[in-house]
Amino acid sequence: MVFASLLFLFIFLPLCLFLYYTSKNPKWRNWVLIVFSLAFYGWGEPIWISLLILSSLFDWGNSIFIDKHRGTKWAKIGVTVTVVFNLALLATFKYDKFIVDQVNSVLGTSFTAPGYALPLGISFYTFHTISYVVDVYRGDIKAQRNFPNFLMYVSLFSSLVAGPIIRYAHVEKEIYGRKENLTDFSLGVSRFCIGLFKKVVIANIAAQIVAKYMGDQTNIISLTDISALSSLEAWVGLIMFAIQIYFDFSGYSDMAIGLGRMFGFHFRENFNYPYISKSIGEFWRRWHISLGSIFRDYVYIPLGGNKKRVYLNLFIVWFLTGMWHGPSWNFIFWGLYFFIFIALERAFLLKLLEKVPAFIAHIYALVIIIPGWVIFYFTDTGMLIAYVKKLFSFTAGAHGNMEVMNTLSTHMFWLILALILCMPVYHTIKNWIDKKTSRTTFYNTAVIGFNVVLVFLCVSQLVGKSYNPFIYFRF
Amino acid sequence: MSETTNKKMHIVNVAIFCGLLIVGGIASLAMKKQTVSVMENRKLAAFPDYSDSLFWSGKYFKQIDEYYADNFPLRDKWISFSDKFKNSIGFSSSEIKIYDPTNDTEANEKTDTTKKEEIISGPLKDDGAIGEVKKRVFVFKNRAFEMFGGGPAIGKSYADVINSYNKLLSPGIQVYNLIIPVALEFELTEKYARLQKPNRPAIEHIYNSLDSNIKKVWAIDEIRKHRGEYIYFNTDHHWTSLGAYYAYRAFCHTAGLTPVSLDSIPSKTKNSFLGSLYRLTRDPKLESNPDSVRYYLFRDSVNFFVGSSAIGYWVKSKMYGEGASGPNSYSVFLQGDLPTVKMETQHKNGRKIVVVKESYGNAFAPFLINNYEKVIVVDQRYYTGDFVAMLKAEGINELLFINNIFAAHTPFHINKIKGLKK
Repeated sequence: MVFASLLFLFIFLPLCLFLYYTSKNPKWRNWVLIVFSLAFYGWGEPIWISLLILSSLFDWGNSIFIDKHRGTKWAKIGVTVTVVFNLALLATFKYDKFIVDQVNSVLGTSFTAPGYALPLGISFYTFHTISYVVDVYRGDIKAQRNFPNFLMYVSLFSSLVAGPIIRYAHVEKEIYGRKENLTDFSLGVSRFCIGLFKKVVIANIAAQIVAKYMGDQTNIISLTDISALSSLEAWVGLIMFAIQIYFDFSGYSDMAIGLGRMFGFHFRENFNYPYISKSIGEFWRRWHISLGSIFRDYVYIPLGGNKKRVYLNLFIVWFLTGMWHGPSWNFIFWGLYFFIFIALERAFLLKLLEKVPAFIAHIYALVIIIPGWVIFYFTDTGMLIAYVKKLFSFTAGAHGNMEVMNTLSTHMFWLILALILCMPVYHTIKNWIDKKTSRTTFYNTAVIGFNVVLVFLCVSQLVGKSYNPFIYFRF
Repeated sequence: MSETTNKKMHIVNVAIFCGLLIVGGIASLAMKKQTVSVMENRKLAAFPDYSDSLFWSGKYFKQIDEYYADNFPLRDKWISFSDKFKNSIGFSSSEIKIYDPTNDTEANEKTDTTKKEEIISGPLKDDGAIGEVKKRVFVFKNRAFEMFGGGPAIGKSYADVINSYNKLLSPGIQVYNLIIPVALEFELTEKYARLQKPNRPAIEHIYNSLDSNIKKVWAIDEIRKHRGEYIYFNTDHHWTSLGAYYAYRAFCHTAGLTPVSLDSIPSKTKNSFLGSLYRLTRDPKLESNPDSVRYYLFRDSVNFFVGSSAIGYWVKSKMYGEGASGPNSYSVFLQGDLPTVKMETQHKNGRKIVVVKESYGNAFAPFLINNYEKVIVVDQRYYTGDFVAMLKAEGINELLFINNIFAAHTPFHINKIKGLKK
């Protein structure tokens, strides 16, 4: 199931909230969350619930085993088994075809991959469990003795399918016996509404424009379509994708954080206005923060971090970061693309950027980040090269620029709003408001109406999406 | 004080949010469901029947999602609000607007499950030319146009299918072909000329690919002479009966007939017709410019029959479906897209024609009763009988393939025409 759907909003969520808050016992509350999380997960792919439960059970058992044999070689074996097991799950279900293709092309063999459909959220929950078991091994946290509690942590529907990656250590105290309160609930509601708006009104509309120029599943484009584009159309498509992916992903994180808060959880932020960065290093401290911190704590630092072989370590981290995003070379190229700039920044560029006026540093970062999305977008290398050529050839297309100008003008107010929301305008205003209690009261009142407007707009867009006229047929 | 006020505000915020979800949820379960959306011309998704395979593939839940969204309370109102919102997120002062309807392709006809017809032969190869039959809708001032983008290879495969009938039936049956251009062909100002492919070269390419003994009807040139008249609808993808009349005049010229003059023929009109292109775009400018559908009441008496796939089985009926109204007004012609209909006249001149068409042919075919002893109209999409045997049984000596330029460049239609031959 997805958050941005009518069924989630009007059936799933109210039912879950109702049963949750009518259960008094924290144990039952956790069970409500488990049942709803599994239903949420199974709504898309019921069969993969089994994998989720089995892998949770395995890692949970292993963590207790490690706890018992702390300090011995058995603990080390335990943690190794968990890491290998989870990476094997990823290799089997996510990278099977990719790995087999590479083997075939190197050895000239013709193995066929099992070709499983990617189980939803597997990249997220395997990272949940790996980080948990490693933390137990390191002695940072105690192993969770109660399986339902652990299962609730792994499967919690707010962050199960698209993050943020919740670290057990960050929510340890909230897994059992958390203190829900009305202020948190209310703040969670407001956060959820903002996330829904970002997804439904910004990202979904941007996606329609992206599809027009860059293609998607419903509008499959070919090399000839790309060659017919003008450079302006190509740029508009790409910038719209930069908008789409940010609002889609950060909107999802907002909804996850907001939902968590409605149930008394306090998740950490996952995005912090990444497009205002002044360097690539900074961008990655602001973009998908939970992923970056996982790679920092479980790969980069164990490899030696800044202390030894720093460039090799960076290479490995960025190779893996790229690969995490998908089983295709373009994602690895995308990761390595950032490696290059992060390495350059470490070598000399960052010092230079600190000296130049801020706006130049901002432009530098955007000039690297935005074209980077084209590598992310096209899994087909031929299409990728054609699109990049189109971007930088600065030519007119087969149909001129009238249509794209028309698209821009009919979306102008929306575009301005999207660009403003990429900047921390809201936070600046909020800080100013928080300085005086009278302002806060006004703000809290205004927010209520604002939430209603946001929900109203989102529902209309979600219902509008189902408008599906058949012109040439009678029913 | 403000601490308690803030707390109150939080209570109100939570109460309103939860209230909205609960009220919406209850209404969505309790309110009466519609089964058909007239505006969208389709059945609304029904609650899926359970099956194990549907369940384990996850499709069962997907269909419940669709059912829920299709049956949401006050759906029409939400949709029109959503349109208003989308129209207000930018400047709409520009005189043009281009829509990319994600659902408007002939491909819909393939996915429609209400008509269980298989495509008889394998799919035709796409020629991969830019934009082949991908349709976009272009709104200029207060009129909507479809934009043509068909490629030559697919036009050639259309011609090949017509040729195959000619080889099968000639001599004995004279084959005609008439390709109807799209409205934008006649409205293009220089400024927007590049938005669609010009129609005449595409039609010329088809005609050049046809056997020399097939008679080609240059309707496009005759229609062009009247480009300032009301020949295409403002809000619908079809032509008007006047547009069809000019094509009929061109046909008469090719077929050696004298066309009837419209001057003395009484007519009726259906007003406030908001057609398919309005339904697709829901553009407010189109809404303010509704169409009227004129149909002619010829003096010649005619016996009109509705047929079935069984040869020689005809049921007497009426030429015009005068009950058609609102968004279905175009269905007045020949009562809409029936698989086959027959018109018998008092002109005992021995000329008996079959017209193979899609919906564009509906406005055209009635004119032929002024010149033919017998006119049989076959819808290429829905006719399931033995076509060639029917031609013989009815003593047909002329055969017209009349198609709009999109259909002549769409594998679906080409396959359907090819499939009539079994």
